[in-house]
Amino acid sequence: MKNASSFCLLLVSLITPSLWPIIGHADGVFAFSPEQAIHVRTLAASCAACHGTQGNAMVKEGGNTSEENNPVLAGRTREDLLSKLLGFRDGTRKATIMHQHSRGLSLEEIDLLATHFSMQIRVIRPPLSPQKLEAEHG
Amino acid sequence: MAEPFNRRAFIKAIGATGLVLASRPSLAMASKPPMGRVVIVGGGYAGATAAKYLRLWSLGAIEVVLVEANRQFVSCPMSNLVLGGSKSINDLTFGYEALQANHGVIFRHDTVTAIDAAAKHITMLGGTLSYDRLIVAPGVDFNYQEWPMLASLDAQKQVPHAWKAGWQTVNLRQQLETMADGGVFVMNVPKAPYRCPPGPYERACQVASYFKQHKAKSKVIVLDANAEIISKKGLFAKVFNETYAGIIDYRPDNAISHINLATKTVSTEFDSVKADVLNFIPPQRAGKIAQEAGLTEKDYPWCDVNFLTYESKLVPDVYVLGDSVAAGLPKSAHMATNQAKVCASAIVQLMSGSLPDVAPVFANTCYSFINDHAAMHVANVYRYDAGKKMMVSAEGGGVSISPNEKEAGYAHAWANNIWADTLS
Repeated sequence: MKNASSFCLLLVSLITPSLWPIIGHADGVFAFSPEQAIHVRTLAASCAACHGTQGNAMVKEGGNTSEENNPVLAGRTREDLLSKLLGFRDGTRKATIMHQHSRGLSLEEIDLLATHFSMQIRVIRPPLSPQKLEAEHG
Repeated sequence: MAEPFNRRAFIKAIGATGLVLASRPSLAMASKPPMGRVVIVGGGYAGATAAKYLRLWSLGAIEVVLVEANRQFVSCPMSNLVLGGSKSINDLTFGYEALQANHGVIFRHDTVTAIDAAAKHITMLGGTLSYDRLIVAPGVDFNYQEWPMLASLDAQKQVPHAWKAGWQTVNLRQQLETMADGGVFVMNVPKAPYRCPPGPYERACQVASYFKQHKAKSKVIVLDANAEIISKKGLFAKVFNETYAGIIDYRPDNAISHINLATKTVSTEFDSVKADVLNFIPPQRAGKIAQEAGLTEKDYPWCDVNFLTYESKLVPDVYVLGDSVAAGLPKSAHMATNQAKVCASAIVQLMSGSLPDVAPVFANTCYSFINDHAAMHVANVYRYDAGKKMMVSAEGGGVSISPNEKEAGYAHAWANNIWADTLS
């Protein structure tokens, strides 16, 4: 099972030009082409509904880490994110939702997302504070 | 009357951007003088998200004015839980302060009365405002043309739609609380498309959940104008038939033909039912200002746009977002924020002389609660189809196996994350 994911990871690395400069350089410079940068910025922003702005999911005090607090993506390693996404995609990793989303993405998009979120700075923020509804609201 | 440009807010905006840039030195060099002004009409999920991401992605170089008639944002997602009793409306209500403080969005509490696309300015009750590009995100307008007896506020106090979260949601909850055990709650599902496809079915479950716990002899009758359940069909059908057997009476193909407001009796082609509490969700169309500004064509109530930018096909430099758009896709909050991000990205590209993404891709995750502790989802990736020139469903999408507690946790997290992403 694990080998299948590793093989996929290697395969993505080889077929995706953006990865060529970083093979063997975990902390190297990640370069997106202008087209890739524009494509991944809206695609990655789409993940924010569950995983927070730039992958910084809200941390609710006392919330269940695996449920009420959704996984944080910002600042995780690219390898970790890639192996999880590829695992969801090929079914070797159990999921409730991510198997469905990951199968809608191309291998290049999975690579772009993993690289993008690995480059984001982790910021810890609590949920937004709600307010009392005012009588004047239409 | 020309509206004076709000310099103090603008300087504050630039200041806020400066702070952001200072903490991210690699971006400091990208700071540019303002590239122009984008005015956004409507501060719901779509409008507020567009405002934030225009500021973020232009590195503060685009001035963004968000015009909204309400001082508060009340979330429609999760508002059915107010009817079930597990949430209060005060858990779903937020301010626009963080958008201003964190991103330098200029917030105008005002109502837009007219758009002059030729002169590129809008008229509000409190003045006028010029724009380089305009985003119109007014949500849906309820069409009471065939239901004149329900058009007034007084009538809606008796028969609320509660399909825009706010006082009507609270009103409907109070009516359910006041209703005697053994009463009948009657609601309808309008003909699709309407805001939030699974919403009416979730609502039926929430009311049934409340009855099951507190008013066991009461019933829920759902009159659906559609031929069948139109979202998460298998899941809802099972919940109606099993979890709420004997409580929910679901009637497909039962469009309401007549309403007697005084007796709360509704008639369909086949039947007539008397309600103790009646919830009428009216047919819907693009927001009023979108219709008035010529963003819809005659006899078609939704706005056609270019899905690479969300620019109107009818009016140049005017973009339409959210539930008003004729996308052929679910009118959901997550979709509205996705459209807003594609549009914001495209506008930043265009205003800086570059090209937008030629093949946008985004995801939609939508949860429905069947009671206070179990939820189920539908998830899909959508991809631009260059041949069809629209967003189409990608492979792999699907729904939950069954409603469960784990996904209720994910759904609460979804709400907390999308609220913060949209408003802070």
